[in-house]
Amino acid sequence: MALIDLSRKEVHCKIVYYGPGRGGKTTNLLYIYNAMNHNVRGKMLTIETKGDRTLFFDLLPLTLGKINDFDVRIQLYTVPGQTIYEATRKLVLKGVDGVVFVADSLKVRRDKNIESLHDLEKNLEEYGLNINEIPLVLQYNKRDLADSVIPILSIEEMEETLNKQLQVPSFEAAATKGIGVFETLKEISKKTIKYVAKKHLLTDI
Amino acid sequence: MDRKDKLQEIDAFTQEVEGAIDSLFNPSKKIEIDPVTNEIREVDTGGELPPDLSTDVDLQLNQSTQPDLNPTIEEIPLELEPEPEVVPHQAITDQQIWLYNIKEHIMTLEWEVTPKTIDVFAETLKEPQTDLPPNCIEIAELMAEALDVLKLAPAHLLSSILPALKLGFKALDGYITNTNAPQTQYDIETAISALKNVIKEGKDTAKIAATPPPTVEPPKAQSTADTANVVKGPATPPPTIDSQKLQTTANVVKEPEVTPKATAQAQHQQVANKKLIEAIKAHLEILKQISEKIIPLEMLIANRKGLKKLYELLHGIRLKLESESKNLSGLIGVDYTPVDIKRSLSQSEVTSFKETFSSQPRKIKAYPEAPEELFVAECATTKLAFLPEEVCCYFRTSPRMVKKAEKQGRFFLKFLKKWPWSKISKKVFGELAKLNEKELQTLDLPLKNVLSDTTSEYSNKKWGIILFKNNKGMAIFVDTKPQLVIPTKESQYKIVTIKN
Repeated sequence: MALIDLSRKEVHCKIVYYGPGRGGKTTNLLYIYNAMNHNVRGKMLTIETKGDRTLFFDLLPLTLGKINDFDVRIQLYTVPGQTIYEATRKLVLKGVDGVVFVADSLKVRRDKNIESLHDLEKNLEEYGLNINEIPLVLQYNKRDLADSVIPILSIEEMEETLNKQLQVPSFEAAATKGIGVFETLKEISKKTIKYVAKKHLLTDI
Repeated sequence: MDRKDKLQEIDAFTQEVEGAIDSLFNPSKKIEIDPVTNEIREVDTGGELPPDLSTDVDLQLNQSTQPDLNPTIEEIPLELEPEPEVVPHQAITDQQIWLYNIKEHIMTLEWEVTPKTIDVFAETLKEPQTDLPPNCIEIAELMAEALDVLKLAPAHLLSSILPALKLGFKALDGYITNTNAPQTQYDIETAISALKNVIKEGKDTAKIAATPPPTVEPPKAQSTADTANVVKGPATPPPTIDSQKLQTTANVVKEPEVTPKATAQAQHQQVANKKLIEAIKAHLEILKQISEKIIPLEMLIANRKGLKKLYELLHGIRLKLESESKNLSGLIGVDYTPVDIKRSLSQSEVTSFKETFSSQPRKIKAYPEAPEELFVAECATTKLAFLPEEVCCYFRTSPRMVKKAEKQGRFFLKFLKKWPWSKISKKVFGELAKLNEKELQTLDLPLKNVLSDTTSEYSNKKWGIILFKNNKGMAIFVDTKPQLVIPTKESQYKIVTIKN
């Protein structure tokens, strides 16, 4: 949950990168961490397995500095995508303010995308959150494979499968090259701050 | 401030934040991440940022939030290994895709094994590949069969089946890349052999893992008519053990049929259990020897200045080791034999132990039948020793606690902690640990000074000890934390009885 401390003038938000295993969630954060100015981002915490798979979560704190005397910070998290780490995903989702769903464009991963999205919806419900209300953007990763022989889903197929009902902003991306990474980040950050400000500051009246 | 003003304020705030996001959330350099190794490398673009992907799709979304996508034409290298050379007489594009999918499935199996992932993999393998030679088709079939076996017992079989699947993939990949290389032929033969082996072994392992222990039903009487015959019929002698033949006449109860297979399995199970227990007993013995090796070192550092924390750590480790050994012994139904401290000390490799320890304490006499262990603490210039079974609690004091106790000449456990009381129970041991919360709350102990009759010198004492035995106890304040030590024959001490 967003921390808005009016006395200390702090606004902290939590954004979670969710999605199926090996879809590019950690790659998104790695790219942001390495490409961004070090004044804006903090140290990235990542706990990996031997096979470079996220075991628990990755954390990357970002700061926007002082805005209207408020210290605004955004924390980016990723979750492990494998099915067996359901409990960890649920734990990391606690207190989430915004979600980036990183979908894998490979054809063979289509079912995994759907399964993961349902998993996200279910976990959000357990925290009393509605997937249709929380700030959410979709990222269709690995679009750079479109020119190779490897079969990937078209954007229409991805939209039909994942965004037909949600109707949220979606971005094409190739996280290893940074394509679409910052666009996704900006969009989710703006949506999250707006949502958090309206939800929490307005209730103080 | 009314709602409208508040909304305006929030809007202004969010607009400023969005401005900050637009200006700050930008890449300061262009990099690429290797998808396999996560290695970061900088890319020189002459100051330009990476281009957006080209797309012809008109996304039916909120366009105002979408970034502009400029069409680009760019050759993007594959994430996989370089494309194999095209062999003119074969259509390899479909095969490449098929091979790539197999590789993906193997990588998926490496971190996630579920029936679904196995099924999807098997389906891929069963896709018809008409352009492959028979031995490659055989490999694919064997890989599919291996996956069927894997489903029987994934946890047991993954470690053996996965390498065989990789060999199969390597052989297929080698064939598609370079048909006639000797290495490829070798890889194909190796893969076929490995897959057949794991399939056979896997089936056997899966059977053992799935077989429940056989149950033998107790003997039943055939029918009431038969039992009536047993009562009324002539008295026939019971079959002797030596004969080992089943009598099938009506007046004899038949034993139930036990199949040879079930008997063999039961015997096999019993043998396996016995071997397991023997193995665990051997390990328990080793654990005991480890404890025995720790004891001399523990005693060596028990009274060394500056090594108290190390002593506590070592002592804790040994106690935990012994406790777990005891638990394990109980689980397998064997008696636990505690560590023989005397034997441990006599076989000690710590050569300087006796010389070091025997120098402390100095000014006390040895008595016959000296206890094996003593709690020792310093008080003024004297070392005090207490019998471990009488020490039921020791704690750090505070000036306030000491003052209160001194004033009353009594000690109450509530001086340690007022609430919650459940935490007190964790601090006490021995006989005190047997008392319930209410009894502990009302426990009233006299405060005693071991060295003199007055209690006037307690103010600097840092530690307290509670002695409790046979429903009688007392509290004593000392200078140092009590340490458990093993006195040697040369130790000298004098027994002091404190009346209570």
